[in-house]
Amino acid sequence: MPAPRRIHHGEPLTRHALAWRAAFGNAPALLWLLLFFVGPLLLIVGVSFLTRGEYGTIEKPWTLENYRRLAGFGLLGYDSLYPAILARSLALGFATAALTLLFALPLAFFIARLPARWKTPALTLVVIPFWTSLLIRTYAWQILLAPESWLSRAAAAVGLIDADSGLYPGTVAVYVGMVCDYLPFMTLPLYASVEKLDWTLAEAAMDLGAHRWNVFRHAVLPQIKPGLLAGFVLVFLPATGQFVIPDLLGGAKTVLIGNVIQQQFGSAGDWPFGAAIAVVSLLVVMLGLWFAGRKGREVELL
Amino acid sequence: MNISRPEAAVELVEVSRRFGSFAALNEVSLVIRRGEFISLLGPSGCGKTTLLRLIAGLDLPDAGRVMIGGRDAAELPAHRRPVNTVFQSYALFPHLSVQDNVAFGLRMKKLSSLEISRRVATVLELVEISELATRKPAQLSGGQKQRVALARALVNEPEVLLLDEPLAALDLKLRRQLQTELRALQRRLGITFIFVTHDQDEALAMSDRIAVLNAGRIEQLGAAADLYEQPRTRFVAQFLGSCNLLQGTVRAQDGDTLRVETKLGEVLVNHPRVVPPAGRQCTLGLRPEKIVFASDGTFVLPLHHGGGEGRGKGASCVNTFAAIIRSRIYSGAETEYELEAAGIVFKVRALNASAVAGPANGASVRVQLPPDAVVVLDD
Repeated sequence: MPAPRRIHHGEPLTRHALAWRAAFGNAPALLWLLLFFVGPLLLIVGVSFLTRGEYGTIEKPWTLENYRRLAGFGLLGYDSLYPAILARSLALGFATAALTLLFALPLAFFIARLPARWKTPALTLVVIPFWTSLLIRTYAWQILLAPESWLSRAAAAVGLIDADSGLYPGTVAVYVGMVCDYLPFMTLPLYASVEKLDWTLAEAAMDLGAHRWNVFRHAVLPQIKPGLLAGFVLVFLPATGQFVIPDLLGGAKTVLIGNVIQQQFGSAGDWPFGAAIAVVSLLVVMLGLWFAGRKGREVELL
Repeated sequence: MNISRPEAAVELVEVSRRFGSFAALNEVSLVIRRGEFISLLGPSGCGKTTLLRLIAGLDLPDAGRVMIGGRDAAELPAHRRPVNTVFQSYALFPHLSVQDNVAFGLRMKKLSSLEISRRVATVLELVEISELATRKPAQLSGGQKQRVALARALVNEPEVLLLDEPLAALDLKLRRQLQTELRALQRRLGITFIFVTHDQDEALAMSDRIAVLNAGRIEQLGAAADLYEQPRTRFVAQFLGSCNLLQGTVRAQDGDTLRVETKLGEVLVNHPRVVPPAGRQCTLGLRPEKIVFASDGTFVLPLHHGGGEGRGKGASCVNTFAAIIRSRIYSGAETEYELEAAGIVFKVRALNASAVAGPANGASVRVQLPPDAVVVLDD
């Protein structure tokens, strides 16, 4: 019989008893996840291997046709439409995360170095946009960036854009909307890391002959990496599936993976194909994250 | 470039640094000689760490000049100064191995990797941690981290090494060992060491010279024995070791002897460092271990056995007073007594050189304050 393990409050417990206790304690959360996350996910995976019926129903036989179509092998020969849409969405997610990081990093440092009594108000200001609906915020940008707005006129005056085109609709407007929407997701985890930064390490690096970029790279960056990765993932994931902001601010000219999925489940009534797209984009994103995580660890080992 | 004293490794000229309304350093001037081991000693908040940071370039003075190797350091940012620091918290890079931590400074200088690995290996051997080269800081003990921090600074062959309470976090035994090693290392390398500490024993044991700091000023600068035997101020007398203080009024100067009237009666001071004018109030200081029990009292200390009646006469009789033992603390090698005389409480420390017990509580004794050992203190 294995020796009983002691945990800190002194109650002798076997490994088995601990496992049982953990399972019991987590049961409500696990049940919730099982019912409302794992279940539907398996359903989607299952549906993706079925066939669309004549009136949008889901029917047998089991098939790989949805995936073939997604890869580009349609009725009219090869067409790279769907892979291109997926790539475009991933690029949008990545670019949004990168841009957001660019803005969130100085912001996180700025807030972390504020006097203690200003920190909470500053963090509240970062979160305040969430108090209004995403749609309202996005429509607000339409007005702010419209050709007749002072922002557009200012941009035209310094030669950034043509005088009559305006910032909205277009790529600039899309990224403005995306970065503003996702900024808190990046700022909060980054701030948590920056807040507990050990500045003596930066001083040590300086003392050892490092300057600016090298101080940041060798003494600061390794310390804030957890927050940075967390923020990046938190922005990259939803930004990849985002289609409302690109539609409203980009002029609905580009199709993204979110649009396609919505169409398939909605107007097109092709649930199996929509499910296949969802499964593939999920896999691609997970693969990317796994790769990034592995790369992250490698870098840390160097 | 402004070459002034080539023999000075670091020179501070009327350096001041304020934090808000708090003056961390107040017009401090100090010349640190090339190759010396100097300690900056003082209580927390006295400005010793600020002084170190000004030399390292991690902070800038509000007024005054910092010269390093004869050059005005105002034009030199921290990363270009020929000084390196051993931080109190060690500040090792947690994501780098021991050898990468040590190699950091050399990599910043863009030396060849061959040269880097050679110098890293040499310095790791010097501080005796070659076998830890591939470990991460989290896998090291406090003493080992200390050695890594030292190696990381020394590998750059700095002109001046700054040490900010590097031993404060270690236990007593390890601290003693590292004190000896650090001192030996400094002698061997000939690098100027500027050592910040609040531990007077550490400063006394290690330094060529000690600068005692208090409230942003240097109270006294000198060799360990000078500071201990001839403290200039009350603060120095009481911060370095313990010291009995006695208020008095200067009567007269008699050749090389100062006569001071105190509550105990007249106290003679031989070779006073300063001679206040007659009638001036002054403070006398006397170390507890220098007070001796007089041989002509009601109690005869075993050490003075055989002195006989003759010792009670002449010069050895001056500064002798009657006192009562109020308490005694026996601590093996020595006994510390608290004596009371004319309402004044004294500390006396006597070496237990004999197995015979010293005077008991309540005993009446006569004590002598040797005129050579009494010092006149500034307030």
